[in-house]
Amino acid sequence: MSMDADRGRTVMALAVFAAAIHGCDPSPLSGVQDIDGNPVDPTTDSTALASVTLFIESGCPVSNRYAPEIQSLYQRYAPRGVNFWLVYPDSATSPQAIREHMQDYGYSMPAVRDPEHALVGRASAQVTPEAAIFLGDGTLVYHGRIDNRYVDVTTRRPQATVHDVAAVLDELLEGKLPGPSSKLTSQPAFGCYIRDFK
Amino acid sequence: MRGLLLPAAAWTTTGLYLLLASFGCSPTSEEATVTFNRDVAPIMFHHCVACHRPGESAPFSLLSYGEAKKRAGLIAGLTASRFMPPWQPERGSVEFQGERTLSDEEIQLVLQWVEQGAVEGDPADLPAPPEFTEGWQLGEPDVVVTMQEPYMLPADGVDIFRNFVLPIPVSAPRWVKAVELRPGNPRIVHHGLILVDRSRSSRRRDEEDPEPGFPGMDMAGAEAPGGLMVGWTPGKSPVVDERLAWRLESGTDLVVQLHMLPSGKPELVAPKVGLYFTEEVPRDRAFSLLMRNDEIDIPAGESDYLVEDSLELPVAVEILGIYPHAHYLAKSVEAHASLPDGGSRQLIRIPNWDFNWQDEYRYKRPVQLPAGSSIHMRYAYDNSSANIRNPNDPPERVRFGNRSSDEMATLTLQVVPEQPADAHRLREAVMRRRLEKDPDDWFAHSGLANALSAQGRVEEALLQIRKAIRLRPRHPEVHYNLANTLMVQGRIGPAIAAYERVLALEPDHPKAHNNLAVAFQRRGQLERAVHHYREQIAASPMDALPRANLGAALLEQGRLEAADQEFRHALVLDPNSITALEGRGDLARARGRLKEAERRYRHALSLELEAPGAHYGLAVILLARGEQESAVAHFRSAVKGDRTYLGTLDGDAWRMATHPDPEIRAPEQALVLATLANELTGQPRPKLLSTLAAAQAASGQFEQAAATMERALALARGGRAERYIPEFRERLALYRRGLASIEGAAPSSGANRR
Repeated sequence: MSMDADRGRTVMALAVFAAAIHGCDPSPLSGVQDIDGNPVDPTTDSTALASVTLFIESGCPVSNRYAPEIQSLYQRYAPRGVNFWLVYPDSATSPQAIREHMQDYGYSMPAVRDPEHALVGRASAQVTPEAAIFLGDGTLVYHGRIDNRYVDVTTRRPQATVHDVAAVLDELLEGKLPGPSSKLTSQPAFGCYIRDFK
Repeated sequence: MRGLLLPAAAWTTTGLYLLLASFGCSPTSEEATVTFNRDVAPIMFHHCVACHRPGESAPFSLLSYGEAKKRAGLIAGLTASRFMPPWQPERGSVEFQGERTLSDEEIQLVLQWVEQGAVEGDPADLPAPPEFTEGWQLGEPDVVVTMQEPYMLPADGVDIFRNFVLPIPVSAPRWVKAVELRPGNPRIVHHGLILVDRSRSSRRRDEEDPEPGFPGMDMAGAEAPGGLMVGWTPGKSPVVDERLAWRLESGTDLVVQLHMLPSGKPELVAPKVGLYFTEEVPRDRAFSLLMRNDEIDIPAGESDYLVEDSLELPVAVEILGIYPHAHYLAKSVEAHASLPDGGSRQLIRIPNWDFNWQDEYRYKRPVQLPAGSSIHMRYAYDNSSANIRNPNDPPERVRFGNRSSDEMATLTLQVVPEQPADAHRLREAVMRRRLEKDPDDWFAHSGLANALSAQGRVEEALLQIRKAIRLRPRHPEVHYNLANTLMVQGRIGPAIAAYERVLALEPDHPKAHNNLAVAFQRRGQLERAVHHYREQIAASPMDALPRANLGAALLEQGRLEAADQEFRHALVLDPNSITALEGRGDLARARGRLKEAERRYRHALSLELEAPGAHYGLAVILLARGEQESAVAHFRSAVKGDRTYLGTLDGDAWRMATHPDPEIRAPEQALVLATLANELTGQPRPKLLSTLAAAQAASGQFEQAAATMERALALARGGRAERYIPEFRERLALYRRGLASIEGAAPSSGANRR
């Protein structure tokens, strides 16, 4: 690449932003089904404080390493009115394979398939694992990494020091909404590219 | 918007791909000139699929188009940043075997493939995938060592170092020419190290820990086998090099130290190790030179902490391989050699150290260094918060130590000295360098003692071992070293005391009972020898050697049946036990079955050219048959192989010269033996001269006998043999009167001792 660093970064940011705003999917939530084949909308639930969707892939090592943390978040926050959904954007992963994967990795929250990447588009998810948090009315308030364990896809800290998803949920539980005045911003996630799963 | 800016470090991988992805939502439909089948598959097959295939280390396979396309973005990003294939040394400067890198052209091809939508291409273009040997890469091992129960790696957490202790079922020493580790669960094992432990301390730590194995990087009593680095990293083929053969003793435990990375679900780990033996004793043997600097104390926040060391090589060497070692904080690692003519050779340079991908590297062409070259190592560490891999957040002071949260700086070189005997001088140089840095390094004193002892510099060795004892008075190994050194010197009494100290400090020391028994046997204290051989056998029942030794002691006591039993038992455990074979020869000789004895001695010699006991026994038979020249040649070989046979020669000469039974008395043979003994002894010794005198007298050569006896007397004055002077005077008087000495005692039966 011949661009210098600063210009490069700006172009990068614009590209990402463009993808985020416009998305790529024509019809909302087309093809999103639970593993029994029923259509589902994980993003909107007026009875819940929030819905957390976690984009994962059964063969992605980064995604799999997050399984205990994801399950832990579920156990801590689900009793407090937060929905959790696993989202499998790889069209080639069958419902049976998903069941086996969930059993192997100890996942007990519900899962959906997103073979047409409708949810991916709604959440602007780029990689697995990635989290997207929606308010009860379906407004997206966060998308990005679960925590700061990964500095990039190849480099891990020994322990995460910033827990982004937990922090957002804590704010919501306190009745605050993440917004322009909030210190929280969506943080890029690192992992396997969802774009390649179509 | 600021929150969406990507950190600079990620720019190359994530950013690159996002840039490619952002233009359009579906793969570009322009004419694809790069296809998987034609252009990318060959790269995958050549560089990647050794690990990236089912059942191997990588988390996903890249064997097929579908699998590769699913990871297209990752492949593009990680090859462009050269994170994959994993290869830490800087490209271009030093050539190593098995270098795993893509050329710039190959990386470009992969990038273009992804840019153009990662198309499959014409099936006719797809090359045949490579074939791999399944299972053991080197074929069926001679011995497979396994774990009794698998270890369960937890689902989450930081990476784990754990040591698994696997007893090795060999009953006799073996030369191991290759080792293959099959990790059992290659996806979660990052690398492995194979160590051996004869001290049982690893086994004890394993027993203390409720789960299989025990944690940590600390090696306790385990050591590198034969001093060599035997490791495993993903995708590496096991090395077979005769020069790297190492000696495996019976009663040894294998310790497999694995570095494992949790995967998100609990994982079972049950590694297996295959050992491949060779009958050939390697001529040019490689061994490890370990350079280290333990003066490490890195303040929190220090981002450029340097650790350096140098070692001058007293002899010429050939370097086969190199293994730098540090922990998480190291950021760059470099070593080079400076030559006496002022030149310099780069040995290794790793500009971005990543502890997770540490490896040992073998040179394509061994590096030749002349005597007087110096090796320099220079490692830099970053203990600031800018170092993402810093285990501590916020950073903390880090010092030298074995745990992964400590730091180390070691450089292991696998070297072959130009002359095999030079290995000891190299070890001496390494230990002296350690003592330059720390005169209280007890391990270096002990190691230096061993190196000096091996060079025959026994007095200097004793000096060093005593220093080690002063520094570590309760460490069994230093006393053990002392005892062995004293045995070499022939100072049996002090050696016995030292072995007893070893056993007091460590009752289940793996070898002390055997060696103590040998010492007692040399002093003629046969009951005590038998007792300690039995103790050794109880401790290591699968070991053939103490049983064979016990047989020899029983034979000396005249307990022929019991001796026979032990020799047979030893041969069941190890059909090639030289000691047992010699012992059966001696047994046959004691029973007067000379033809059988000769057969057995020759059999032993066919297995080991230098078996001293076999040489001796055979020599006695040949001499009795009148084949003097052959006999003398074998006697020489016996003494050359084991100098204690000088004493046996002397004893047998005396017996044959002075035995009251005319059947046993054989003056001509006595003369041969005594003459030889005096020739081989180096410094003239009164006792040996006196035996010669007796043999001369027995042969009727009274004048010579008297002259020899006078010499013996002259030498005995003021020396250790002073107490024999009265007896010598008596005998001198006899010879002057033309009378020979006749005795009843049989000081030696000629049984071999080890």
